[in-house]
Amino acid sequence: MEAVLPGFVGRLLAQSRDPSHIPDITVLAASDWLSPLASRVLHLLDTGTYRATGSFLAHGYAYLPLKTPEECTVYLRVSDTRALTFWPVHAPTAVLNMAGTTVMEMYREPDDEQEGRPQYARTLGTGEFFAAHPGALCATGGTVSTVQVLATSEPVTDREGLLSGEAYAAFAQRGRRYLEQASRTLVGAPC
Amino acid sequence: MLTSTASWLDAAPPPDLDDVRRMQRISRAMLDRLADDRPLLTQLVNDVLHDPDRLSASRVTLLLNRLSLYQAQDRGFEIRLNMNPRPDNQLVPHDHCYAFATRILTGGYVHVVRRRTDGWTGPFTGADLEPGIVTVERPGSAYTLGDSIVHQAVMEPHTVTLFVRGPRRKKLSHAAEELMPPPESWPAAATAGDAPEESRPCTLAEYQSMRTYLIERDLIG
Repeated sequence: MEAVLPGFVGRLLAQSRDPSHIPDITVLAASDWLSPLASRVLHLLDTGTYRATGSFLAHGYAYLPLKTPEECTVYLRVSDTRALTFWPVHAPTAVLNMAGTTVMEMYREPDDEQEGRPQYARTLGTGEFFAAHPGALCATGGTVSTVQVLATSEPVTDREGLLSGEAYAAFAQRGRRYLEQASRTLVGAPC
Repeated sequence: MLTSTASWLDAAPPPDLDDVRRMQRISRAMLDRLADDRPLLTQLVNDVLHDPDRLSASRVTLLLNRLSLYQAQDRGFEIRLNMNPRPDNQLVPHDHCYAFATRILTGGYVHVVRRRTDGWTGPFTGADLEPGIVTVERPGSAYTLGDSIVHQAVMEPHTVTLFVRGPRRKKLSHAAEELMPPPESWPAAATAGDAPEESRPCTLAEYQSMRTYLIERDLIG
């Protein structure tokens, strides 16, 4: 089975704490992955290799597990709310924005998160991505059209509730609709 | 002597420099508009030569070169144009004395935002840092950082960025000392025979070189 994720995802997840270790990712490599990845993920959905079992809500998203050959755990993440939602990061995680926009903030202390005082703010458009590392105090928020591929070195365990079959079907359908649009996009646009 | 050109920037709202979230929203709109306003960008670059304040604030540094395009002292912000990253000096983790927002015009970079494990103020070393958020910035992308955040921007050649900075919020900025580029890699002194400097005002020749570079890259007319 061929790799599903762009090659840079592995480099993001493998980043050590050494400040001299910077993931080797060119701007060009970071610019041409959207359409091929959307097509590959659609293929996974279309061929039924996804699993309704194990899908859940957490951090303002529906997490739909994707079975890929990579060693990391991969989910299709579909927005469940537009609210900015705290996201405790327990393992190195890469978030690839396939559709819609994602607002991302980082805070110094938990109180700063509670009071809405980020020290880092960025909005990611279609075709942009970020990696988050354990200990980072983050919050993210999406739009109704926000669909992401999330790859993490450990499965997400802080789940807020399992998805019913009906809810799963609705999120999967929404994800598929926006992935089809992304699969026809030549280059993603920064937001 | 004409030192500034009237423009929509004169009526731009201050980008709420105490609130990173609001600063991101306001600065983003301002920098997007400026990025699309080639005549104004061209005029601002040309005006630097005739404005002693902006010329002296235009500098060559150990990380890159910059022009001070616009100074809104009444509203507490300055707009810069950063370019010519020094390829061997990009790794050093550092913070800033001020909050800033930036938008990439050309090129791009791997951007690593670090989490400090020794508190959020004062000097630090590489051992006090953990990776927090990592992105690849490319033309059109933008973000805002507060003054306590440590980051690395490992730029590709020909990266040019717009940058809006707020007022100074602390006395000193910091960098991981053991990862500081050696003095041999710093900008040569403007006066022959003097020691290299981490940062100094650009010379007239360096200003002209930056302007020519921007014309060659078709960023200004």
